[in-house]
Amino acid sequence: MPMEFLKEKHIEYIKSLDAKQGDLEYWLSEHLRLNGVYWGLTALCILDAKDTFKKEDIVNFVLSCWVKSTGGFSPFPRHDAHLLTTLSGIQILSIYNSLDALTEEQIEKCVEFIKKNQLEDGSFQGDRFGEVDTRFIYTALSSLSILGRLTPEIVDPAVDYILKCYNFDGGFGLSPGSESHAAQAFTCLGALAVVGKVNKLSKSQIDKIGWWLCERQLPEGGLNGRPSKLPDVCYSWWVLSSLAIINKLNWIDYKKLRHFILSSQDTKRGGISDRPDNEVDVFHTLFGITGLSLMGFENLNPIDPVYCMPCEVTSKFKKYPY
Amino acid sequence: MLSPERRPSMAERRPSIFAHALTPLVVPHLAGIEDPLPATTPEKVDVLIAGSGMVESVLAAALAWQGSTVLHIDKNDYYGDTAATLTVDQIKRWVNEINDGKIPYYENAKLYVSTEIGNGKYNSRDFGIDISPKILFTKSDLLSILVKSRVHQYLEFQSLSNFHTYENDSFEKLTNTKQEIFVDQKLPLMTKRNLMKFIKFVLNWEEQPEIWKPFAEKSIAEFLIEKFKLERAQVFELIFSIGLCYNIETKVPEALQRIRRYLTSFDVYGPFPVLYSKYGGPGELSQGFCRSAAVGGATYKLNETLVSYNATTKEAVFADGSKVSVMEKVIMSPTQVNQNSKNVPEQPYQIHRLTCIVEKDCKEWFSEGESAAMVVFPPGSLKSGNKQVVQAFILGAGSECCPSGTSIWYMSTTEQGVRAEMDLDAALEAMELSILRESSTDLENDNDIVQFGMNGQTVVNSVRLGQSFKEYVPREKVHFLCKLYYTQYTSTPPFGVVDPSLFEKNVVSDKFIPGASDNGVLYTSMPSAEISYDEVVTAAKVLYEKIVGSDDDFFDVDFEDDDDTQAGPADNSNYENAIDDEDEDDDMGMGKNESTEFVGEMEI
Amino acid sequence: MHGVKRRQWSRELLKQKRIEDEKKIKQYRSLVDTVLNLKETQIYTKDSLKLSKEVLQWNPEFNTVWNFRRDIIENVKGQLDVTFWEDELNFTMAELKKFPKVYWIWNHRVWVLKNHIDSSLKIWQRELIIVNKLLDMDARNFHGWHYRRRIIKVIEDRTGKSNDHEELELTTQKINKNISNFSAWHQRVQLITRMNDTDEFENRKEFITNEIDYITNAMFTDAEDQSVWFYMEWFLEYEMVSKVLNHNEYTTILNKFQSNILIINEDDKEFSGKENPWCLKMLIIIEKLQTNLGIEIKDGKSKEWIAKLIEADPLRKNRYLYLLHEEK
Repeated sequence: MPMEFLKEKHIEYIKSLDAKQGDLEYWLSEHLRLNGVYWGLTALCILDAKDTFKKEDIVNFVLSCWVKSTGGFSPFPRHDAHLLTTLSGIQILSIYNSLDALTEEQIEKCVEFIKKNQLEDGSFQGDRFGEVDTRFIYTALSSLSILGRLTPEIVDPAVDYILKCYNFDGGFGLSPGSESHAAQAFTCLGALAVVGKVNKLSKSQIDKIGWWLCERQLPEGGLNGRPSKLPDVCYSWWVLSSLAIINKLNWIDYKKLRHFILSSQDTKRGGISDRPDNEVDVFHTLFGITGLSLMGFENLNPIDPVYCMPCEVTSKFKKYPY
Repeated sequence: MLSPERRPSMAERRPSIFAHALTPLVVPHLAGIEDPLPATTPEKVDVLIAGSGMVESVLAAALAWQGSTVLHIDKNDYYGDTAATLTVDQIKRWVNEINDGKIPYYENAKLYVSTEIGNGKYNSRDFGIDISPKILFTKSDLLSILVKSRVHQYLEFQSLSNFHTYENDSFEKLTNTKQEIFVDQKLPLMTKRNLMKFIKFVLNWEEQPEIWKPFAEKSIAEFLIEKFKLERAQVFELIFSIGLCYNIETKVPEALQRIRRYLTSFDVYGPFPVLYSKYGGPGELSQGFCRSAAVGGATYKLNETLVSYNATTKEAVFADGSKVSVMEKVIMSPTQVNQNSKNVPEQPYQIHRLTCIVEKDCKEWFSEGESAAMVVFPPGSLKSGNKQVVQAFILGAGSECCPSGTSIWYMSTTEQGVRAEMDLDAALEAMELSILRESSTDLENDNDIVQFGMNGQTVVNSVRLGQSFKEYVPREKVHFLCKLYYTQYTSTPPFGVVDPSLFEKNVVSDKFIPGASDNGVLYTSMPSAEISYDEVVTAAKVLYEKIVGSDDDFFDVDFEDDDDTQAGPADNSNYENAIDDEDEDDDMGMGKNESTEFVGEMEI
Repeated sequence: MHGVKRRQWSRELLKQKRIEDEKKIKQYRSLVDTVLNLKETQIYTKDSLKLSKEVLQWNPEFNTVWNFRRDIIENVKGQLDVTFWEDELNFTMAELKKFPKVYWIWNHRVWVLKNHIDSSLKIWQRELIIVNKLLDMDARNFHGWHYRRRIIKVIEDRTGKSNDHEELELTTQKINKNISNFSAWHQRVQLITRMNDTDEFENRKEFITNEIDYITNAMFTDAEDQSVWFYMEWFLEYEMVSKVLNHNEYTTILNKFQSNILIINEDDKEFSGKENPWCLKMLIIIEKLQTNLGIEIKDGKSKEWIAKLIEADPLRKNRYLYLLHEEK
């Protein structure tokens, strides 16, 4: 087991991703490309290797994903816009301090796109086809926050809706009545944090959330997403960021989690997988690295638990209420 | 020529599907196995194998795929040898041959056949009787080999989930899964807890030496009672029905391994621990491996007896006068010897078997949709005061081994000597009474089992529903169509856990005995009393290593035609397609596919 | 990738894969190009329908093509008969069997049901049977549970009748099959809450009594399982329980749980020499409930139990230190 953090290898791995055009998988994952770029770029920032990607190419790619007809971002040129990818687009531009690459009109249309997808009960649909999920509240609020365009008309009903997704066990579900899931804890707490409303939760609720989250750690050190499930590196992010938001980051055992993340590295080609000996991908690579960053290991650049972006970038965000 | 008196062979019943496939033929249609062509006997082979039982057939296939040229012969006119599945007429002949001393290592064969077979409503060929019946644990080395070698494609498997323990004159069905323990209304809370504790422990017992080491030299019964506070009923179930141990003295580590074998097999392909093959057990499996060996290039000859082998000239001579040069080794089953064979290892252990065909479907013992059951008679549970377990394997008509309305009862014991037959008789009697009681339907007309209450109301007698039927004298009798009793000898003792050393010692013969026809021959082992296939792969590997030098490439076959058929949802009627190459770790009660949760959808 | 074993590709294998991929990539990209052209030129025909399906069979996560497919259907609706709609359901089911965790497929299926030419209730009732089968295959798939709640909602809205009793029975079956199925325990909480709110219990007290037996049974069957403990905690704190039972009854129940949990913990200590962390956690909660009831506790043990937890469950040590601090 490699107990060393393979920083250079991870940079190499992320760099290699775009050179995989000879693989069918590359083309079958177009629908995740913009997200993928965001994952890769954020990981590189945390690894202090932001320049690995060529800024100009990336910004141009993001701009080519902007969908004129709807105003949101798609994962790949010619695809449809969706709230998930809209956030990725905004995040990438923001990391490059290039939001001004969008025209006033483009930003206006983008804000419109996000707002239009809010439903009466405060929730958001991902696009016009009506799928509702707290993931979309997070992406909507985070996008608007980065653009500095949150308003009480948007925020208040969204917060009400999120509170309805809180469960008896201290977790959050994807909609009211849905089972608690660690990733949903992040989207709900993250969304509340983005709009400065974590205080809407009572102390006893916060304590219980912390309890549910820290019970995700398994004896082998990794975290799972729900009771009786296997550990997975990506929960290093979902659980830890949530704990960080409620100021209970140290309720899990750092050393053991670090061990689990490090043993999920691919020692040959770099990258991190969901658990030891599995195939790596950029998604788990990012969340392994951000997990380590939150715990303060490996001299990584700090990550913002609310935005999942480098603190260096988010420190400049205007905080709501403005 | 194959005997005209036989059941349809596997290849006839299941002609190779590859013959019609559009993909290039990687596994060509099997030629030769139905009617082997003696004319094509090669002059020179790497390995000669005599006897087509389980171990020999697995070995033949492994060697053929490894690249050795194999000549595989059998002196019988049917496949299977010690693993054969025979018709009633074939059984008659087999019994006569045993009693004429023509089939070594079997003796004391007694046979009763009702006139209804042959002259009545049944044909001899309606039945397929295994001379050493076996069950297949779903997590076992043989199953992996079946999948890896693709021999499973020739076979059809059915599930067996009902394991009964005979206690207090009645058949208790096992409570052994978390669900059964949880919902069982009768089990006291603490017993539930203790049982669950044990089941969790046994799944990775080796990693918890602090729990079992203090009991390492004690019997499993003491361990279960003292450490886990289990009651007698559960202890017996665990040791004898789940562990399928032979007696109460079984040591802790062996018993734990055997108990775990059952539990880890549970839920691999569905809610049952074992499978058996349709149309016949080892008879089918050995044929499957022969078929695979033939595809891999082995040559087959039936009705062929090896008369002598000269280790110096490497020449093997057959009864029909033909000869072959054997470059590497000659492997022989003890049943295939001739009068000048002088190197056969000693076969000191007896297995006593009683096999009955009864005119009852016995569905009372089967789980719904199934056609088989195991019944175990723990020590002391029978009238005979048995010291060793009697195991009974019941097959119903769904197995296609017997016609509808009938079933086959295979009983066996590791008891030695005269006591054995008494134990088997006692077990038979218990089964007879039990099936009559359980299948009795006309309650209200049966004064024996219905009592009348004070006010004239009928009260169903506790005999029907309760624990004891000692007083109950059945009006009806079980109708036996066939009863077969015999003793088989083997060099393999009843073992707790399979171990290569069980087979090492009887394989090699370095002795040179003047005048012997078998100097330098390696012998295989006769089947042991083990009801599972557990010994087969280990025994075959021991021989394989002797021939090839190492067992690293044992069935290291890489078939190129990637089998794209994915395992669909479990289908109770037909598990043959459910066998998938994937080897998934399966935590108890955790369900499969724990892993793929967010396949990148949480794309934030 | 989730749950995919890491493979070391040899140079040879990689070369081989690349050669195979090359042809497939060409095929796939040209198909995608065709379909996106059709989409951009808004060609809504049965041909487009066919081609979009081909793309989705390559890649069921291509949501843009799912969107296009729905747009086509909307536009050619008049030409589509019941066979089409049934085929569409079969198509999504075939994909779900292969990719049970892809959101887009689940969503498309709901959309199909809502737009099905046969708008009768029986389409939805049939769907309930289908979702049962999916949950049989994976009883913890939260997509499946979420989907089930959506189906039930439609059925209830249309019949005006609650399915809660049947759904509660379903959670019992699922839990019986696997006590660790927290998805089922979760659903049980949702149902009980709703049934209490809408007055659906014939006899609340009887229900509570049976539920207590059920939980007790579960904790004796598996005392390591968090699902049971999380549920127990909810149940004991649930207002219906403390309201329906009178003070004495409720106190007795708490005491009974306390003593059973102590028995289990003692048994664990005897067996392995270790405390059972979940027992300790529950004991703390029960003592808190007792205190809240105004029951005088002579020698409160909470602090002692928390201290033991620091030893017995070191992963969460800092939480226990926090609790200890709170106790003061």
